[in-house]
Amino acid sequence: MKFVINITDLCNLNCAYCYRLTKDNAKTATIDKLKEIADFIAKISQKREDKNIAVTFFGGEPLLYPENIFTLIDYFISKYSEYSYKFAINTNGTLFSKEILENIDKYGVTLYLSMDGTINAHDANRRFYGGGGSFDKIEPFLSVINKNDTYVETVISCNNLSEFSNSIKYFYNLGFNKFIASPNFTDGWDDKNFIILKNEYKKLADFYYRLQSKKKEIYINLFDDKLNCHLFKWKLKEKSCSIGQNIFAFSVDGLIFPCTRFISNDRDNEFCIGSVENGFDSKKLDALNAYHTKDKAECSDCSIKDRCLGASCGCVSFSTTGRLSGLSPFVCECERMLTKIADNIGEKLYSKKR
Amino acid sequence: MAFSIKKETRKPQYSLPIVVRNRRGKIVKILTTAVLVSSLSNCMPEAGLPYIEPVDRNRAIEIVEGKFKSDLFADIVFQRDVKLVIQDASGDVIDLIADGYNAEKKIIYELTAYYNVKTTYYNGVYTKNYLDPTNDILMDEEIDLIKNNSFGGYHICDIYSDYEDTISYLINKFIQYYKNLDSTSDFSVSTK
Repeated sequence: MKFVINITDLCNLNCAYCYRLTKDNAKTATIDKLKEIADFIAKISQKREDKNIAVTFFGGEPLLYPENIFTLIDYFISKYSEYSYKFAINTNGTLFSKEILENIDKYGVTLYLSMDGTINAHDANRRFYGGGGSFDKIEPFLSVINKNDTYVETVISCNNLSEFSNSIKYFYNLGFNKFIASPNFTDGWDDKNFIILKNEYKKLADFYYRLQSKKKEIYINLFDDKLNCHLFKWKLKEKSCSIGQNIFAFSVDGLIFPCTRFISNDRDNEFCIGSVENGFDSKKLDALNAYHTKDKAECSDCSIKDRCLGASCGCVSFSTTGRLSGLSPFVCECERMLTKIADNIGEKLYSKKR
Repeated sequence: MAFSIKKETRKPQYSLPIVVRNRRGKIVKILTTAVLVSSLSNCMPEAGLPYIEPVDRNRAIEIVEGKFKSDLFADIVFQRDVKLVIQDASGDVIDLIADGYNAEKKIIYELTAYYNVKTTYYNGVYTKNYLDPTNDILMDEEIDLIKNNSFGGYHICDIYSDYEDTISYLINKFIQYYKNLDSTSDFSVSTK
């Protein structure tokens, strides 16, 4: 099972598109609370007879408290040694140190590094509270990070989208080859921006096709997820969104939420599905399960519904419409456009003529 | 553009390559690319430089115009950044600033991989300046209007890539189209 633990709501950056619901009521988890969360995770994994535990440390910026992260990893490994673990940290990369990177290597921690690209693209939105860009703080570490276990996570915004394809190429040239990118769906998209986004996707698709046809290993979620869902008849909802079923996110106080986007410090929040003290709220859990059982009305009969974020990702639906059942017209438009580009790649890579 | 919710009806035309075995049952051909194993699972990267770099706009123009000269008309000259409004019989309009335009042959090429968005940040405020006249690109709806490189009596080549071999591929395809034009049509041409 997959778990997300909010180490702290605090962050040293003030990114323009930050969606944290805990910004105005920021807290940090105590080490005792983190251990309680670990005990709860072990308990439900045992109950569900799942020997694999994947934990992602989240925030805020979790590396504000690196000692809490590595203490908790030690706690998991020593107290619950019967499980297999995969740990990951979602970080903005501004707080790396030699010691932190050594611990990341020592524990085999996967990094999800939030970077939006080249300096202009990155600093357009990922800035410190004082207003300065954060790129220069991260750049010295890019050469020493273990690329084998790092995903670069990129947000595409209206004010940096023309840099997008070049940004991915920039990271690839540094040795990174796993990319998770997504438009900031809640930005102020208009027709001109949409066309530029489409062109950027096409340019990146060209680059991706080139690498694939040369058998270079590269993962770009935008294309790989669409291609693989078609090739293997996978459903994106089952593969990547398992809210309320196979993924749970914990707030700093030990409240339980369906995924990262929903985390809040409010016990009365409609998406709070329990707490480590009281366990799950079964009614709310059942309601979430219903999300998986049927398609959105607007999506039924759509030929790409099984590989569309609008139809399949609870976080995207929630962040763009405030509802799990909602569907944003921009997300729908974007996904149709992207899926067509991904299929063009697929037709070149897998058509019967080849 | 008012973004809208629409059901997609298009179905992709590709599938997994079939595993081919020889007479002894040994697999001789399997899935050909890394994409199949990398996604949503662990992927061991092989870091390295892309084997080819994109080319800049000036080089793209050289490639495109060089191909026209070598494969179509040795003496063809293109005007740069020409504002055109093209209308077809049904009233649809394409409004663009052509990267390259030859009035005599009614040939247009548009480099849609090259455009510019400038973002400036000052005192907490972002200012966007984009799509300046020389970086005008064909709008999505306009691209949809161009069927088989043709619209309103003009021959339009959309160069959507900044990679040399894709640019060459697109221009070759366009030249092939141009050479195959019906010689009795209003837009008949004599080719080299």
